[in-house]
Amino acid sequence: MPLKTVETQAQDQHLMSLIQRATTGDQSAFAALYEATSKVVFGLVLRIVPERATAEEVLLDVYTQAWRQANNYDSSRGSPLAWLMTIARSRAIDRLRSSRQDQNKETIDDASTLVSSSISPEEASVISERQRLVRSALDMLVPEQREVLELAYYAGLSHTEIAAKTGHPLGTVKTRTRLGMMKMREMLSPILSGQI
Amino acid sequence: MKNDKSREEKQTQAALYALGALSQHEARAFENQVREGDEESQTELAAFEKVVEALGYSAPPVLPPAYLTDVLNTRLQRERQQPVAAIAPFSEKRAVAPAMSSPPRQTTTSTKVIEFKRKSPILTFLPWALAASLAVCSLYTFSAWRAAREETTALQSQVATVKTEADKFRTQATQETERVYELAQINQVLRAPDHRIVELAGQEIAPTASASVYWNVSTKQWVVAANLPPAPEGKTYQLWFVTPDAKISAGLLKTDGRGHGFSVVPVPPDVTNVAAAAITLEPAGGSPQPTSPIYTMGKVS
Repeated sequence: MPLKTVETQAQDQHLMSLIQRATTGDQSAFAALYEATSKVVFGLVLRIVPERATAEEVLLDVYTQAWRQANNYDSSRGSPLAWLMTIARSRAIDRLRSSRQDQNKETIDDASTLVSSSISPEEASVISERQRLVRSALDMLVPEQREVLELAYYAGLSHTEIAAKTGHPLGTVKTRTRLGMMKMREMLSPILSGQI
Repeated sequence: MKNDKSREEKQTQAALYALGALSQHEARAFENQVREGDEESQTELAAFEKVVEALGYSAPPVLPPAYLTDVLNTRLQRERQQPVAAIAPFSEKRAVAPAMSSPPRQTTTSTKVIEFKRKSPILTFLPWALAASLAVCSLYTFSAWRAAREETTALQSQVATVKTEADKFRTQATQETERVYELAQINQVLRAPDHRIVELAGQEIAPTASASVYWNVSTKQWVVAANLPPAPEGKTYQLWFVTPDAKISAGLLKTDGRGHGFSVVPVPPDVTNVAAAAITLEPAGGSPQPTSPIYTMGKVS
């Protein structure tokens, strides 16, 4: 088993034990969980809500919710980091939609810029095997499929909104979504099967 | 055909639902469908939900500002204290507090104040004494605050200097860590019994460019290390699997300020008979097919 896989699984175990301790009110354990995961979570939030001050508020909301709902974490459904990122995406998309309604401002372009696969030196020290695999898989998609997935995932658009924004027929958007997600499912099989 | 189409429709609905991209009405309809025992949709949904979870790993990590840690800790502290029974407001306490020996009247919750008919000398001077004490305390606090503020400004300046130096060392350390990671990936391939190395040479447009592809045939993985001219703004390098029939994108290859690029790329099972590897310079986001001259290329021996 590659070294990185062992490290990733060890990290998961460590995070699970921190969550378990947090359910008993251990704030220092939760602080350690925040320290270990906040870079990745904040990166995701900032990707969805580009306005920095709002992203910081969302980050606080994410971890407050995680603190309150630590009892709800189920390790059979996914890794601790995946659980946190699910909460983060949900909170961030809600805030994005709310700000869109309030300001009637087109923030879609900010949120849907293509994912960069670049890894800066600063990021390299915390990038895990999973992150590299996901980025590579996204780069492997044809641009049209990547576009619809990013608009749905990062901008929180429905399929009709994606069709309106891109000018493509609804049927085309649905087909590209299905094909893109099928391709991702295939390429991410090491993650989905729990190998890494 | 009908079954295939139905299966495709279920996959589409499941994928859109997992992404949160269905309308509310469609989402409720899909939920009912799954609840009523549509196992195929349930299976597809479970798989696509895992994909959506994994997509969270695609965003580059960003360090949040340090002050958020303190804000979060304060918030959580407050959350922990909330279950404690709330203390009754001051006005209610005064209304039920007994001034005489008789039992307190429990029926009132008004804020009626009990007035004293006579005041003692102590009570006459007390407010003045308190005011004087307060004035002295305020003056002392202000002086202390000013001194602390000056000290803080000096310390902040020192901290800024130290931070600059620390950032410099951190960058160097991170570069070294990245290099160690790259070498570990390459070594892993070289230790595999079934591996190939493809050396890419610079072409006419970039004669000094070079790259190496370390191909782990059994795990179907390319480990790519490249040294290229820094990409101009709005452009990015793209790697290609070159077969006799086609050029298939192997993903984008971003380079740092020195022109160094590194990537680990899965080789899809349906990409066979790879004859060469090539790198071109494409518009940001990549292209379905190469649009520019080849920067480096190497044939698979």
